Amino acid sequence: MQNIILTAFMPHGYCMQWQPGLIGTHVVADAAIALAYFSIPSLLFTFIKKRPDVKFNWIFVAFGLFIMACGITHVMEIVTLWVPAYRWSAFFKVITALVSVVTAVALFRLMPSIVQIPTPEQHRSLKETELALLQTQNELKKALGRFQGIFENAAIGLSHIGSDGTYLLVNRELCRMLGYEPAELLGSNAHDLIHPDDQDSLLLDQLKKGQIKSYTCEKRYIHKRSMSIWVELTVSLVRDIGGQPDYFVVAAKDISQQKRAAAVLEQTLDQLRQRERQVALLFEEGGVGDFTWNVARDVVSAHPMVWELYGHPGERGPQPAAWFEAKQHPGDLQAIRAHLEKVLETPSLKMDIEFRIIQPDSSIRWVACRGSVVRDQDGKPLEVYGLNIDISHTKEAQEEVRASEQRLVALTDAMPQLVWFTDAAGNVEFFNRQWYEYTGQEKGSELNWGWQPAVHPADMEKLLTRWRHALATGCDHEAEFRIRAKDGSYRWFLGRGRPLRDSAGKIIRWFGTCTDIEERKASETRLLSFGQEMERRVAERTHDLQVANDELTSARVRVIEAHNQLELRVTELAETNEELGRKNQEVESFVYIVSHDLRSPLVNLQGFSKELELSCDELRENLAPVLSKMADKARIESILCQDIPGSLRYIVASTSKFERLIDALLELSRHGRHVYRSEELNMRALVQTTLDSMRSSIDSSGAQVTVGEIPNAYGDATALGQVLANLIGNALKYLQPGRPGQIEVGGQAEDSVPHFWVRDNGAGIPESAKPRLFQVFQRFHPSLAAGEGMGLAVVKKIVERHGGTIWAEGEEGVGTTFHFTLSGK
Amino acid sequence: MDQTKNLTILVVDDDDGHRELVRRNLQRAGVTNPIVELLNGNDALDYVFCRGAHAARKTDMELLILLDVNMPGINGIEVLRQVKSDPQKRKIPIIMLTTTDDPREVDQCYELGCSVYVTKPVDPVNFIDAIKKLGMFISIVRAPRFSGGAE
Repeated sequence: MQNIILTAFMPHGYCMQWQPGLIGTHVVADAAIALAYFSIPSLLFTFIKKRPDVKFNWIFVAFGLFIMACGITHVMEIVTLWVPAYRWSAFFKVITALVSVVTAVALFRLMPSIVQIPTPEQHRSLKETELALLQTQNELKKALGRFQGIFENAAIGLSHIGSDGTYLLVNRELCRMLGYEPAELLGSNAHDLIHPDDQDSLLLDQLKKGQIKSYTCEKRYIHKRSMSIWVELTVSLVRDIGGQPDYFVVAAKDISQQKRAAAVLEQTLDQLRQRERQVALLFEEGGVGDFTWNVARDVVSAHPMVWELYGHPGERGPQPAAWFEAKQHPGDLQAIRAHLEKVLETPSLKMDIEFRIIQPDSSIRWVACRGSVVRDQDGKPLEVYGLNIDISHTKEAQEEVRASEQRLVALTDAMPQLVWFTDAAGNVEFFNRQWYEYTGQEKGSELNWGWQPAVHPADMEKLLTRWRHALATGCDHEAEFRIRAKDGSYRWFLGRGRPLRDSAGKIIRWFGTCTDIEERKASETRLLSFGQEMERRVAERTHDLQVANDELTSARVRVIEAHNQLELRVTELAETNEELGRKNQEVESFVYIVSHDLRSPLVNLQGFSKELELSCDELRENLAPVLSKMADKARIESILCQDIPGSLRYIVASTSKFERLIDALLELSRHGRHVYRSEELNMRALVQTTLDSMRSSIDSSGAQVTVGEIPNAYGDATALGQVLANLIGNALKYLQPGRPGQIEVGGQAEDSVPHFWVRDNGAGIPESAKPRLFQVFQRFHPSLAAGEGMGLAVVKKIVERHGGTIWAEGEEGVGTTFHFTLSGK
Repeated sequence: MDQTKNLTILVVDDDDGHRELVRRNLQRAGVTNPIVELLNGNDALDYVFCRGAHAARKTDMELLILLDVNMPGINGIEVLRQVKSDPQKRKIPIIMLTTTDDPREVDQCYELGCSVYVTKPVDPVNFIDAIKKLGMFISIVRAPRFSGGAE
């Protein structure tokens, strides 16, 4: 074949006449082109391999093949210079043409797609945009997380509520406030949780119409446990793009505590007002009134009693000081002004003065004025605050004392003896007229110890010794001594002295007489007795005076004392209450411990009785075959089958009774120790819940239950639910057989004390049982129903711990009504 | 049922009578698993954690604990707390046995992770049922016989 090719054509070199220059140039150029063409595809293949991500990589393959084919045609150019293989050359050219045409067509079709491949710059900016988008997404996610965190952990209850009222989103605080799990709230209607009395939707409508942006209001919500809680709501509306209401954002703040605090405040204010009324009463009873004198403005405002003291009961004031001065007795006016001036000047001084007021009917009223001065920082008087106290009675008594004293002096003057008074230390305060007439001493010089010159110097020592002894010991004094008359002569006298004691036994005075005993012989007896009589009467009189004086003093402090006693009584009552509570608690914890410990041996008793029963059974089974062969068969059989099982039955019955009693005691003590909540309860809802829970026993009893008006009350929902369940349960249990049962639950609020009753037409209570009705372990109709007789004891305990009372009315065979009250606040 | 043989029942109670009753009830019910009686909380913890007198006990057995609440010294609640706070031992089922059903005590026991709370005196039928409900593999060789037991 080679020969045929060689012979048929001539090599291409002939065309170039084998000129070495021309042929060399062709060879070198073609070789260089071919080498270049062969190297390019390998580079392209390497590129594709390393960058698998590059799009349309098959075009690179096609292009590589195209160039490779071109390279081969150039190699054939060199070959054909010497070897005339033109057919092979043509063959390769055809292949090259095919490949190039295919590549070109493919490139044309690909062109639009390639143009769209982004340039590196475009690529970079695309990347940046993507990154920014990712960042924005992250930020958004974080913000959403923060929002959820804030929403979930907010200290106020937050929720999103759909326009139809269903909860779309709720946070933890809202769930806590309402006592529900989030799953319970979601999807439920928010409207159902609002207290029936608070369900007005005026503001909500305005919000929907767009008249307002948001609103805040206070409403009561019903907690899961039926109590109502006060909540401050802030509601706003989120609208969708079309402006239609989408959902509500509701923030709820629990203000129950504030409400309770407000209630407590109101109560405190009530107490204060009551206190004020008590003080007013005291003021009125004691004839006391307070006043305030504003010094700078010269106005006096005063308690009604003050105006009354000044003889103008209808006056209201205020009045200037001059108004009061016009009514004060002109004789006291100067003293009052001087006193007031002194009090205003001297910071430590209190106002304390007594004066007369002339009444419109010209009668006189004595008033004591006590008070103190309120000063500013510089000590300048701002106002005088004080009390006016009616002391007319005291003054009258004082007048009486003075009159008595005058009568006493007249009395002593009328006596023939020398009469004297001293103070407790022996200083003479008074001699009667006879002393002066006899001794001729000047009035004034003889007082205290100035009487001594009148005593005979020789008798002086003895007299002083005795007198000092009497003063020191409090014994009666007696001495005989001579007293000089004004003419210088001496006569013998019998001096006697006697102490006068106050109610505490303390000596407050000495009084005595000096009796002339010169003529004693003649009239000794008579004179002595007369003197003693006089002494007695003087003592009596002086004592009376003293008593009167004491009474006056005590009357003055009686107002203060009464006040103090009132406070004391209140404190005592509180202490007694506390003591009672403590005692009660002690008893309850004792019951608890005892019941608890009693159960342990009881368990053994019950358990081993059962063991014995089982053992007995087993014994009987095992003995059966043997027994038939035994002589005392009947006896053993009766022991095994009757005696032992019989005894065991009693033990088992008693222990289970024992167990129920202990359980009941434990239950009771648990109620004593339980700490109750006090919150406003929707009692109507509570009654309804209780009835719902008892539905099956109500239905099976066939009784008809009606619910009347039920006021709200304060208390513990669980415990009061138990009270209702117990009373209704009792009514159901003790229906009269053969009579359709009718039970009524009702209530009313009397003077803000809620009062409830459960009335039935059942078996009633025997008259004899009424006193023991609420005691533990009491049962009156054991045939009608089972029980431990503890229910009513527990009910009474709960009601009393709520500050209420419980009682029963009714007649045997007619029916029973249980009443109970609760605290209204 | 090869697992049945691998369960040891611990009865922890300071009252001899109560322990005896539980043991008899289990045996009468046909339970053949080994029963270990322990008299106080301290001993129970030693047993569970292989300490003290029980340092050398075999450890290839699963445990079921019947635990009294009121015991002198370490009481049942404390034993429950310690066992349930140990990462290895917390999966041991514990049945609380007690004389009272004080709601606070019941709540506390369930919060601490007890499996069942049973009030004494134990009713044998219910008791065995409760154990079975725990999915415990107890080997019962014959049907329980409680002819005169239940009221």
